[in-house]
Amino acid sequence: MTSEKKKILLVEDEDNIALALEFLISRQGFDLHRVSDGKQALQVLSGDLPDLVVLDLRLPDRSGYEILQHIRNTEPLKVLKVLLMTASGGEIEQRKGLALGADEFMTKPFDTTELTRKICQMLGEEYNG
Amino acid sequence: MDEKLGLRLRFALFFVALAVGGSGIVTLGLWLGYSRADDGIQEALMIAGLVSLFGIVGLAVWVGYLFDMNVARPILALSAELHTRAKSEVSVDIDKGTARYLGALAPAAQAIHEALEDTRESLESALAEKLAVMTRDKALLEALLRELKDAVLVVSADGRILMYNRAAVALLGPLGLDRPLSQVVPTEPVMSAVAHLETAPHWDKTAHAGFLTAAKRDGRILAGAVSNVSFSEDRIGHVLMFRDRTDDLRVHGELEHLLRQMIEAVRRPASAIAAMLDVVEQVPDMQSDRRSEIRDAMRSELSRLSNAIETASEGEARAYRAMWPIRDVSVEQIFKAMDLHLPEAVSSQNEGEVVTCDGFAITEVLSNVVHSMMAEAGRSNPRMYAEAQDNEVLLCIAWDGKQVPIAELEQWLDHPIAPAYGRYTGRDALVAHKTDMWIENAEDGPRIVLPLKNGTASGQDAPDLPFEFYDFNLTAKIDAELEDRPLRDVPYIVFDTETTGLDTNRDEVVQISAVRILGGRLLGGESFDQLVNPGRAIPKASEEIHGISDQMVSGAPPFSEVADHFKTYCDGSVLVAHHAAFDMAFLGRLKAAGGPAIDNAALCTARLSLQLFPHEADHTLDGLAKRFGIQIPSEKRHTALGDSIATAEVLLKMLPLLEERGVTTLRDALEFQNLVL
Repeated sequence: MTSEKKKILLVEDEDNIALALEFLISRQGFDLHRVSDGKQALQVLSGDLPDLVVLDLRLPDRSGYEILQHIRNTEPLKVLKVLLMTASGGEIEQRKGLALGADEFMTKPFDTTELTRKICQMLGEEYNG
Repeated sequence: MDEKLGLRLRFALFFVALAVGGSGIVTLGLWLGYSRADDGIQEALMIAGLVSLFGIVGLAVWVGYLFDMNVARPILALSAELHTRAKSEVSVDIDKGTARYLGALAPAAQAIHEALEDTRESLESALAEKLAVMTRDKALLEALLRELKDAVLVVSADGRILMYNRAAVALLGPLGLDRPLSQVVPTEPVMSAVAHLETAPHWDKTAHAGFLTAAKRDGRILAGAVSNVSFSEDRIGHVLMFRDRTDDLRVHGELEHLLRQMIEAVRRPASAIAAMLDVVEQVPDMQSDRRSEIRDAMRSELSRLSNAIETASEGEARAYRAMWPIRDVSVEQIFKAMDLHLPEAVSSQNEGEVVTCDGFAITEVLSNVVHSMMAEAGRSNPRMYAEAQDNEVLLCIAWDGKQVPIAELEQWLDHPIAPAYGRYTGRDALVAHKTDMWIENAEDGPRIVLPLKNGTASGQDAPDLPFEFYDFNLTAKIDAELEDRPLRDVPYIVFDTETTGLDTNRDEVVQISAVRILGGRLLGGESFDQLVNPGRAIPKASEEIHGISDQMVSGAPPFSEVADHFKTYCDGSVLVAHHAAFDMAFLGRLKAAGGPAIDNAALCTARLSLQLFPHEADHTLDGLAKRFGIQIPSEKRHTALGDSIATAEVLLKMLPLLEERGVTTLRDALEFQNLVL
């Protein structure tokens, strides 16, 4: 691990999933900040930039696609890595997410080990099992 | 008496009477003067008397002649002209010269002529207008009936088909006018629904009753509705509408099964997880290998839960997909339909791609998106194009100008797509097609993409319908036995066979084709055309005549199987063929060998020709066609179907000639041709 913790923004409205992910991701040594809707996500993104955004597609106020498009169309955010998560994910949603600029895609219910491994991989960090 | 004397004779008699009367008066006057006169002036009186008599007669003749020329004859001419105009349409003005001495009579006659002409013209134009309206209405109704998505049949009170539409053919299989309804569906449920209709009040013209039945062709479950057709208080038939409910029932069954499976699949792992959580809670200091065992077990149960959810989700999608009103639609059709929806033209490009979708819904979705995009300033030049990929076709919308935020696109998709679809939104349509729409950056700028499954067919799954898809003259049931029916009311099946050779004892049929004649009309669309596997090689000499090769018939059914269908097709009809004995011999041989008995009465156009034209030498089909002015395209000649059509047209031309010869019923015709089969 580098001395400075890499920052992850988790945008997830389901508390139980967020609880588990917060625990698992933090265990890998990342600095995780969780918000539960799109508005809060955009607020966070207008301040200190995270290294990775873990973004749920179904949010109460707006879709994850909208936030993703905002990230890809906004200059300082463009380079952010984005991992999309969805509960109703089929191949078509994955294609749509990737077309809009997502770097990775996970379908719920997912294997948390696989998710944390993918996050580490995206951030160039080693997975600590 | 008055009528017998003509106008001119009456006038002539009048002048004769005038001459005779004048002469009599002069003679009486002179006679009275003569008897009292002196001898000296008696001679003078005699001379005066004679001159007067000749003068009066001469004057009467001359004036009578003038009267005849200038009054009597013009009156007769005028009356003839008026009479002609009253009886038939003559637009030439009345000749005023003829009636110039008749004073106001000629102008009066001209006025009558003009008034008559005006009345006639306005009557004709009113009639033409009415006829145009009726023709238009007829065309609209025909189009409506043809294109209606529901299968519609109109049947007579005794259950014969009077009309069918395209959807009915697609659902129930080949249909034929005047065929019994019982050939396509069991009639018991229909009759029971009709009986139920009897309980509806007589004034309720819209009363209908539902029933469930099955198509005889393939057993598909049909939901039907029947209503009565009445005319002047008489029930002349019924309208039947059918919808295919097979898929609905199947989907219903599948979903029930899926739900039951899912409940079972979820219950077990859920109980297992609950139990294991209890263990974890109750045994906090569990040994590590035990803990690891419990963890693996929980993961395995979770995996079962995930699989159950996935299986249910896939099953549900599969079940509903089977219910879509989907078919293969050409992209061109979708783009053209969009043009009709959108206020401004959208340029479009496609290369004949075909997609599998609910064409109406997808057209609405795309039109709504383009419309919403363009409603906002800053965007122009919308363009539609299709991009074929491996298993799918991308329908793409490109444009110039401002980008489309995904949030807006999502919002447009949340709107109901069209009033006809109720609350069905663009999103619903996309989910039903297992697809989505998104924005991506292509090489030449941003585009909205809608992927759809690649279709393969031409999009024309319904069979082409013949023009003769209804005949309401068939409402009246013909009770007479077939043989006693007038020739024009006899249903005919005109057929022809192609064979391996001319030996009716040894050769075999390779093709049998036929057309129907009903009510004196050739029903081109209700034809029968079937290749037959003869079970032996087709000699080259025969192949050269009819063009049917061994390869063509290798996959065809045998004659006994084809004849089964042909027997149903011919049911209740008279068979007609040119040299019928030849074709009937093959049918007879089949019957003798235990095959279906097709022994309907048969007419032979060659025999009829021999009787009708005994002095002609040529009684071949080509010869008869030439005599009657019937064109047989060379490529159709010596094909079974082509020859059947030509023979049918020959028969239709022969019918009036037979009637002229007093051959008016089928019995007469059978005797006339003296054909014993």
